[in-house]
Amino acid sequence: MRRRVPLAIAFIAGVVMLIQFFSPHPTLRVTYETMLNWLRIISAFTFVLGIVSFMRVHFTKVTHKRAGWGYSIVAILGFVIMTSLGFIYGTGAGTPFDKMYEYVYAPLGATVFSLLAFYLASASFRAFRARNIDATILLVVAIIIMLGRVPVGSFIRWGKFSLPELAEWIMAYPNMAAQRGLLIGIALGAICMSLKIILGIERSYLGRGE
Amino acid sequence: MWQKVSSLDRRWIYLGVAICAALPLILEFILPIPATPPVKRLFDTIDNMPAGHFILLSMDFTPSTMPELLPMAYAIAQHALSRGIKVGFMTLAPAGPGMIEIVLEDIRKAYPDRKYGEDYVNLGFKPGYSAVILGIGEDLHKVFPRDAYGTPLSELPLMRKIHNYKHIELVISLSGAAYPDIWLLYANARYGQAIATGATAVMAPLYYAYLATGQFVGMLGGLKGAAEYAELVRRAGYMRIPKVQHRVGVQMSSQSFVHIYIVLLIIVGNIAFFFIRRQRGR
Amino acid sequence: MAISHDPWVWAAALLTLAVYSFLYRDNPFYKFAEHLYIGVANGYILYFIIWQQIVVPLIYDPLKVLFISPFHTKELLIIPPLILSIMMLMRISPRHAWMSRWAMAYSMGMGAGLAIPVAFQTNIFKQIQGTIISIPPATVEIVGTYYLNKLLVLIIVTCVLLFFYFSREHKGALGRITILGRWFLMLGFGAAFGYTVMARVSLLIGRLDFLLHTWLGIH
Repeated sequence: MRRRVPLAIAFIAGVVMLIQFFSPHPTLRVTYETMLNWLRIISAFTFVLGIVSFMRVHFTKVTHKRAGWGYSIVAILGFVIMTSLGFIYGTGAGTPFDKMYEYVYAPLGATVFSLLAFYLASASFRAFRARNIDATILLVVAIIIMLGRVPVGSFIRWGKFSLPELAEWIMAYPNMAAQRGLLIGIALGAICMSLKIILGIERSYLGRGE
Repeated sequence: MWQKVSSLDRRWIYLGVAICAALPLILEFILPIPATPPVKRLFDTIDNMPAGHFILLSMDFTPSTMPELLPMAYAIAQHALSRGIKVGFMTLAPAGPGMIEIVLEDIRKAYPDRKYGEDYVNLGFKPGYSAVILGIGEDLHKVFPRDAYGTPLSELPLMRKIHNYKHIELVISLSGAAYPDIWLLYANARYGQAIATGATAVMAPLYYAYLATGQFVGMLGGLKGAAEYAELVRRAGYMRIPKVQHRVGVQMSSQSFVHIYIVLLIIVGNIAFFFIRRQRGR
Repeated sequence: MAISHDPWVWAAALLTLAVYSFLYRDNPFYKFAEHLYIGVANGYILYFIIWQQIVVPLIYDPLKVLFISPFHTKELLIIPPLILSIMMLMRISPRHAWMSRWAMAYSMGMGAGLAIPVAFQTNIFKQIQGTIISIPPATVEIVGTYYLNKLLVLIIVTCVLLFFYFSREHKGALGRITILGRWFLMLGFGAAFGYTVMARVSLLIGRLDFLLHTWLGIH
């Protein structure tokens, strides 16, 4: 019962969505719009789960004084301050909430991701080796693209052709063809998985237990 | 010696990256940036669009991909508004609204002759990804009953005429994630909506397949794509916020230096590898 | 050189340097910045997304209307997804977590049903159509190059697709074709690596530009 009802819901929702794609019937269109609206509402509530999980992890750390609980206080304080600023001053341009977004949230997010540039350079030096034909092809193409896609690449020429033109040709034809093969393969896999979900063969999203 | 080279402390490598990136930013020189075909295609599409038509600029990115995608938003918005094309800003990314506000703050100052609600509008964020995209195809006013500032859409003169994809000439999705795929899957496949994308360099190689079939009308790939488009906009005389275009040009010079550094690291690393392997073979 | 006097710019700059200090080694400044980021991000989501996008338009406003006229159809239709959403939140409780399956099943079923026809159209039919060698459009300048490129694309797509065909052992002619397929895939991955380097370096340059130009005012 606890697994049969969800499987039936998945089946009905999936079949209705499949059929409505091919039929302009007014009843189906109204059903489609209503179900879409329901999906928007349910998707919005997934954010609440994320917040609850965050609060749970850090409050538990603080109350049980686990390793690094001081930093959890920082996280909770940041959360409380940001939320309070929103409720008190609103989110218009120039408000403290807006300033926190622009000068705390945005820079921290961008900086954390920018660390990858350093790790890439280090990995390129230590691990990127032309051990066999596959790795050599990967290496050579990567170097052509890296130099061809920056302005300095325009200075590397032979006759009528330049490195940026070669790089663009590689992207537009051989790379595009390889990516196309991957796209078709992934799409076939996605369609199979979708059919399995609708037919109830794939049930991992229901989790374990009764 | 090659063993020492091969086991160099990674912090020296990090320092090298930082120096190569910082020097051009301090010296501030700009190298020429010729435009590539995918960028030219998007530029020509907007350049040939009659004034008064409406495009939807979906800024589906977060601060983590801001350096690559924000300049694209600036360049496209300036191009469209200078040509009298109406622009609707929206986002599918939860942290996207702040990105829209950053652009609009400068747009309001640079375009006093363009009125909010008549020439451009900020629809803000709505959760739901595919549900939002499909919903716009049926009735945009049901998905966005109000704009980002709480004004009912029916009170905005521009939005009274825009109800679904039939009234939208082009959707441009700027994103560092799979949002352009979702726009393609649901807006293009189902409703035949023309889609273009500004993607981070991580996603751009994959999108060449869609570009070749014409599913994407045009594409800006990474910081280089942003720099190319900004240069085209500047040459056409539409640039009203030159500071962004200047910064992007300087950043591309910095990118050149870092790329050369990384290529040299790869070459030196491989030379060390071959020498050590030969020594071990003896 | 004109260092910024804006305290917000200083805050952003110091937090940026705190994160970069991790490159030397893990330290309390980095941990402070990291946890502050998590807290502020969740605070943003709670107010901006949950309160402004969910609670007010989807709960408070419809309930206000229903309180006045209880049989208003448009607002009544919001009740089933609200019930499903509350059931989804039951995931928090180990005893009642089974309730969340209903909302999950609805989302998964909808997603699966919506995806099948559009995936066929976008990623299979259109891509195969693009691979077929056709008459060149009028804009093509050199027809010979056009046909050569199209033939190359056809060969590469075929080799790559055959590489993923595992129903037969990769031996003989098929084996040689799949080796070619693997090499072409490496070509694609090399291009992807080059672009990935470009992307990550762009992010670093963006942050350095902020530190040097906006914070320290170095021109």
